[in-house]
Amino acid sequence: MDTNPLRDTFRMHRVPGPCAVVIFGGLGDLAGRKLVPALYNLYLRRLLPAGFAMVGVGRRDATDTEYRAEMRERCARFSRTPVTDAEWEGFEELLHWVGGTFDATETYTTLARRLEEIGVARGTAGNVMFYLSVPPSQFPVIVDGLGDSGLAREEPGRFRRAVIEKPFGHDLPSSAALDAEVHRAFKESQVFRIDHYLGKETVQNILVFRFANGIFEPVWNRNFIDHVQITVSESIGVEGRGKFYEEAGALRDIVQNHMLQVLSFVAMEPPSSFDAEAVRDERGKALASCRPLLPSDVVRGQYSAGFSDGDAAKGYRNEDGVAPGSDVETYIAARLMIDNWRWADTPFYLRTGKRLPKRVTEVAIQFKRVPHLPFSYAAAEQLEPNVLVLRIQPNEGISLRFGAKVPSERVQIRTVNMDFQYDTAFSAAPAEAYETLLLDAMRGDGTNFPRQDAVNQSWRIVEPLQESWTRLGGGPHLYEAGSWGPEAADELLARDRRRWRRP
Amino acid sequence: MTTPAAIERELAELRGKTAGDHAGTRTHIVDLVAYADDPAIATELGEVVAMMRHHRPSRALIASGAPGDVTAEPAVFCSPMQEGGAIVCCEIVRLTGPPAGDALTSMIASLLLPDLPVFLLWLSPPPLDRPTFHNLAALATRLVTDSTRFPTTLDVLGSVARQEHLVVTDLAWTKITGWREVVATIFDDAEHAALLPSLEHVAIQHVAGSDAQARLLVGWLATASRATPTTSIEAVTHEDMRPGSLVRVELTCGGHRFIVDRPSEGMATIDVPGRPIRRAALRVPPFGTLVGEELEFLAPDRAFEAALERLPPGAR
Ligand SMILES: NC(=O)c1ccc[n+]([C@@H]2O[C@H](COP(=O)([O-])OP(=O)(O)OC[C@H]3O[C@@H](n4cnc5c(N)ncnc54)[C@H](OP(=O)(O)O)[C@@H]3O)[C@@H](O)[C@H]2O)c1
Repeated sequence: MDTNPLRDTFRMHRVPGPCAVVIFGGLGDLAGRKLVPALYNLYLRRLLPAGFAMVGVGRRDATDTEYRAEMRERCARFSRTPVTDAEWEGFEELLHWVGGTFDATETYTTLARRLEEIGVARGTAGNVMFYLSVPPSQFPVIVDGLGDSGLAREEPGRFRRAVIEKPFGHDLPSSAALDAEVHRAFKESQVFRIDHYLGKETVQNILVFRFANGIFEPVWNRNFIDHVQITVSESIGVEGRGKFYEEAGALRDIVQNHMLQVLSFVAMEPPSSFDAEAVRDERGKALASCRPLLPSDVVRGQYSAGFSDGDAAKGYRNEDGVAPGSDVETYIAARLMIDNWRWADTPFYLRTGKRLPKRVTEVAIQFKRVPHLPFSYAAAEQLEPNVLVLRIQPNEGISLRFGAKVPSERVQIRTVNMDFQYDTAFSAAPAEAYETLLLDAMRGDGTNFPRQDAVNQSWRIVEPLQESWTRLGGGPHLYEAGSWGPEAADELLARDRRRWRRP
Repeated sequence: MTTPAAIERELAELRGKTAGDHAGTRTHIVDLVAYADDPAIATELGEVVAMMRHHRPSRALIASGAPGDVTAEPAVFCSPMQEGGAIVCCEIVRLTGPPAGDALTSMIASLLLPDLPVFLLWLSPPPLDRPTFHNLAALATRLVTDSTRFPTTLDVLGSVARQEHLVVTDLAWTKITGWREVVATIFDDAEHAALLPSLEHVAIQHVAGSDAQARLLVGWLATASRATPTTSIEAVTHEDMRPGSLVRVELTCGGHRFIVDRPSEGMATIDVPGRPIRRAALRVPPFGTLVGEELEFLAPDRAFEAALERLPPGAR
């Protein structure tokens, strides 16, 4: 690619080198809802390489034509830009299907043969990215298949990569076991773990915000920051995924991956460069400094019947696929401490839940109060400490709360918001996370993918909880659907003389 | 007689009204200043900017020449950037005033929003050597012309940029970005890239009306390949494509022929020796999108500046 002098002339060039993308589970939910629509949009944006092909693999018997027709339907439903005939015709030629079960040797022999043919026809130069869009139980089978058939083997000038989806295990031992499985066939540098939060523009912007501006980093530490609140709230319930959720719970579904990853962006030290390894080293170090969560610092909740977005909502135990006596948590509030020079004694409060009043993901940095207020009590009664809020979704942006004089003859201070909104600053909608991540993986840029050390660290952090919940039993606190969670969560902060923000 | 203060007041009022219940926010990205001799072009641009969904200017000052006092028609357009997102407003002031003299340009100078880069969209034919242009160029961070509309602009743009110390681009160049990307894919293959320095001939067909896009593509290929190809540029008629749009590009390199064809809007075919014909998405964005794309960039576009230096002669 670097040998193409025409490429250097573009103001924005992110087009990856030639490669084929193989999607195991190519007819699955994720493939049809996110992956293929993302590839279609990349095609429309001319960000796919000229030498490109996609091969879906799964147990269903289908021809290329049938597969293309099915994908057209899904793209028509899920693509962010409409599907038109002329454009679809160009795109669908790139899609292929290989039917076969994941445990059969023939599946990989057939796949290897098709990749060979397609590679010659489409000029994919022998580069292949395998995307495992299948339930985790299938990972080991597929990795073995790829390893045994030689498909995972890289040669000079020819890459082979594996992209895997969460969950990366369900605790530290299973994550380590999964990792060992994957590494039987792939080196760590070949592995890309998807955490779609890291594909979000606003998460990536945390680094730019912190390290491209002179005024924030000097106060980004325990001397000026009182505490940090990270909120990931959803207004929806489990939406028909009850069976899946029973196995996961909020801790594994959100806290262990997305929230701790976001935390690592907020807490990390400045990297020496924006190179993938340098950035991931720092994120890994931040997680390594986190104390494991103790049950006494965590509140579990589960939603009961209530109202959500104006409609009556069932309780979790009445959702389809959920056991009537289920103790699975749909809500977590936690107090997490980081043992390093920057953050000692500065709590990070994490909160996530389903059926909360609204959908919002944000990081709120609450600063310390001023050491001395030279105003009367009456004047400053309504003054709150400064808060910097990084809104990750929706209404992506940043706001700063500070005190201002209320216009009147007296001195009266009130807290006001200074608001920056992505929308209005750039008047452009942010790109889809899966488009960004697929492109990054094709280009071999691992910056926005958690490395195994980070995954291990995050399991280490949540491990004592899992252990004690299993050992001691006890269930979650119930909270009404549509509320901000159980009272115990408020008490958790009240203990520290603090309270939750209302996002 | 209108004043900047009166215009500002009216804009603030309109912003409140147009955005309805939600406070309308003005973006703070760029000021767009446009000038067209022809009032019809200025009106057309005003409509285009009002329709822009993304990358729109914070304030657009769109002027055309007319005898008499300076007149101003302020308007505000608000819409959410994404579903459920914040309402964002764009202010458009349509101005007329004497084409010579300083009245019009001084009004424009006082209406610019502070601290923002200024894009000057010059939608009039050469010569550019006139006071209105000099005055506006002095305010501008970047000059954008449209040589699909006024093809001879390409022949003066390089020297204007040097004289006025301006960063320049042309919308004809923005238009061929897609074509450049498709042509570039041919040379992602290392074997083909090796042939590029021996680029012998470039043959281009474009829709009649303007050869600007075709000339720019040749200029680009000549600089990027470091070769000195011979050129043939041919105007053809094509009912469903816009004047000046490229239809076919044929490159001869080291005896091999590479062909990109655009049989219909939205799709290109790429014919490379020894490979099946490949298709690629190639939709030339509408005028508003092109303007929006340009507003995103502040830095000089070196590839464009280089291409300007290697243009084949225009058909005149
Ligand atoms: N869906 C999402 O929004 C989402 C979000 C985040 C992460 N993920 C992760 O992404 C991966 C894929 O998710 P998904 O929702 O697409 O899963 P899915 O639809 O349940 O399964 C994906 C594909 O795997 C195939 N499959 C399942 N069990 C199989 C077996 N025993 N043998 C052969 N094929 C089998 C299915 O084939 P059939 O079509 O033949 O049944 C299906 O096409 C999972 O790791 C999931 O945790 C998904």
